Amino acid sequence: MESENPWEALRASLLEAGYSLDKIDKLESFMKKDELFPLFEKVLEKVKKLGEISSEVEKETESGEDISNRANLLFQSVKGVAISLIGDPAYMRSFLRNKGKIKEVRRILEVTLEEANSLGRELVNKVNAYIRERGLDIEELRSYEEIPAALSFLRILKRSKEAQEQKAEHKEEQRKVKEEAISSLNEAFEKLRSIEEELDLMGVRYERLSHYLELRERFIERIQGIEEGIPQKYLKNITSRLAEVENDSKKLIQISQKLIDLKASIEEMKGDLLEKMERIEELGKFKEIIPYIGLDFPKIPLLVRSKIHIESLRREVERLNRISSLIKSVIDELEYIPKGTKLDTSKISLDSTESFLDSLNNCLRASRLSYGMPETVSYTGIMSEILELYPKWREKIISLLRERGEISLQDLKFIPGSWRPWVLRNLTDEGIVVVNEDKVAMRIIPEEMRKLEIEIEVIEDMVSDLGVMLPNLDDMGIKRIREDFERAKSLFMMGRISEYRELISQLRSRVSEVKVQLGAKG
Amino acid sequence: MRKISLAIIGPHQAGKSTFIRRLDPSAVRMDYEKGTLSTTVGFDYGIIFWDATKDKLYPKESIEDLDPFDEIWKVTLTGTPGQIAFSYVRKALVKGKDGVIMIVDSTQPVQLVYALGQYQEAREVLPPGFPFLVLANKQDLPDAKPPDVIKSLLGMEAEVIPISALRGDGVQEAFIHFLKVVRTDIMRRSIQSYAEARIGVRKL
Repeated sequence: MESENPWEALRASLLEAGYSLDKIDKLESFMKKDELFPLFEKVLEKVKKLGEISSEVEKETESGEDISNRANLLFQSVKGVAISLIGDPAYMRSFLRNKGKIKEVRRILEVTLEEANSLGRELVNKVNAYIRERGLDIEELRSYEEIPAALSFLRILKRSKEAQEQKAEHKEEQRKVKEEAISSLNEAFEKLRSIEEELDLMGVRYERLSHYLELRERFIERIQGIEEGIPQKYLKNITSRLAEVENDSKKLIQISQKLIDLKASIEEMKGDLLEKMERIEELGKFKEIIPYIGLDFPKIPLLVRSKIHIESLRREVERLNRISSLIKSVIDELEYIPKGTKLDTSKISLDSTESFLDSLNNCLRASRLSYGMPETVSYTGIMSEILELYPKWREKIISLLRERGEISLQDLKFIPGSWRPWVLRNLTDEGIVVVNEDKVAMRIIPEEMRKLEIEIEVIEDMVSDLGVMLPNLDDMGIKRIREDFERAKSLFMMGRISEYRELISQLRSRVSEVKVQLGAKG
Repeated sequence: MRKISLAIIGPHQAGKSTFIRRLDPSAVRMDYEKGTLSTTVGFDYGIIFWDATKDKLYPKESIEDLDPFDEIWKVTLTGTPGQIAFSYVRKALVKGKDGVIMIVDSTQPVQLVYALGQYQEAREVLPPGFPFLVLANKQDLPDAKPPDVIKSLLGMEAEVIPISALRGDGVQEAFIHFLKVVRTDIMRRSIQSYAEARIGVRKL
């Protein structure tokens, strides 16, 4: 507690209040001459110190500010004495100073000192009462001077007590943390236990999971045994490992379930596959392979040792999935393959289950899709000869007709007798010849008529091909066009040329109308 | 005049219309609305003439150029709607045809599965061994798969020919090649049935 010289502090205060330094120095000088100053200084120091100590005590004991306020009043009173002297011209002179005034001031200072002493005692009592009340292990104070030391001690005690309280709180906190840690560990282990049971029902044992479950008690005992705080790193390590095992185990459940389902489904499909293969003779030699499908699948009960083992099982599930899809495809192909389809089994591979099924599937698919496809034209025997010779025969007949206008069947000796009707039928279909009994004549038709006939044929084809889609088309009108065309031919043959020309002209415009009608939507 | 009827099948946007119009620029576009269909089914119908003697194609506007003594075939091309939902319309259009050309988009291998579905539909309504050709269209595009890749993706022993219907690259050549196949098939069937009926030959 650092304390400034009280008189110096008062001098500063007086200066601030507007008194000159000279006057303040004179006051000090006169008070010294009148032997007032030592008492004044003593009282001043006492009340100043009392104010400071009482303020400290009251703060420490939290007992209000009664004494410090009163000490402050005393200080103000002492200050007031100085002000009354410095402002009194009867005192502030070098000689004949007012003796009555001096006496009065002395008296005031003495009473103030007594009052300050009384406050000091009161302060001692207050501190002692506080010590008793708190049951502190401190001897009672006897004098005012002992107070600063006692205050220091009180502070130490207080800090010590606070420290003890904090320690107790920390222990409680630690206990709670420990309980929570054990509770969450138990919860994690319970989850693992339930997963283990689920796996057990599937006939699967995961060694890593069992190992961790065996360590359950050891982990919990270790946490319980820790006296001061739980090493967070240790706890985090355990929980992350348990979470990892839980994830792996859940994945294993899914994989195992799929594995069991796929194995059952493949077994079922094998029966179906065999039954359908029975129907195709060429697949006879491959039937004996079917029962072996699945011999290399993972067996149940299954002991899974590690995470790597789980990954290998996952790959197995993928493989089984592929095999299942392939068997399904093969069954579908066998279902739809037409009877009598030729199979090229030379490309069927026996390297592995998958390659066998895949190549069998491809073989069936290729055969199904290629069934009914035209084979390379390689006709043999008479068909080949006729196909080869027909254009030559055709050319020869046209040449003869151009030369002679008409020929008899006897002129067609270059064609085998049994094939002559076929050749002539083709030429008739082409509209080149007309056969009348054993005579073959060129079909004579004027160019304009030939063109019109082709146009009519085009219309007839469109009606025939698209008639369903042309609901507004007049079918009868088109039939009448054909009938009128045939009539025009007769008119031409009969030499009724003017009638023929009129009809042809009329037909042309009717054909044009129908063409517009047919193309109208285009 | 003898006639070849062909159906042009293939997935939506594979290039069927472009192909038909490349061969017959005045092909008609049919818009067909029927029954409960909420949308309009569109397909193209074209006619072209093939001079088998000269191996030449003529559009229907040039019929006066045809040599009456050549072997002329009138060829009808019926496009089919490519959308998956119009299976019954396609079957109706494909039925009775002499051959089927399947057009696939070489840049869209994923659509081959739809193409295969349409091929199966055709098989349901046509006799076994019907002439069939796959045209791997859009070969002008940089990401077009080559015909052998298309063939392996289709997984069938069909002939696959590359074309670009938009540019016309390979269209006529592939078409004439197929017409020859169809003609041979028609002639073969004709010979076969004649032989069976008239001569009593069971199998040639």
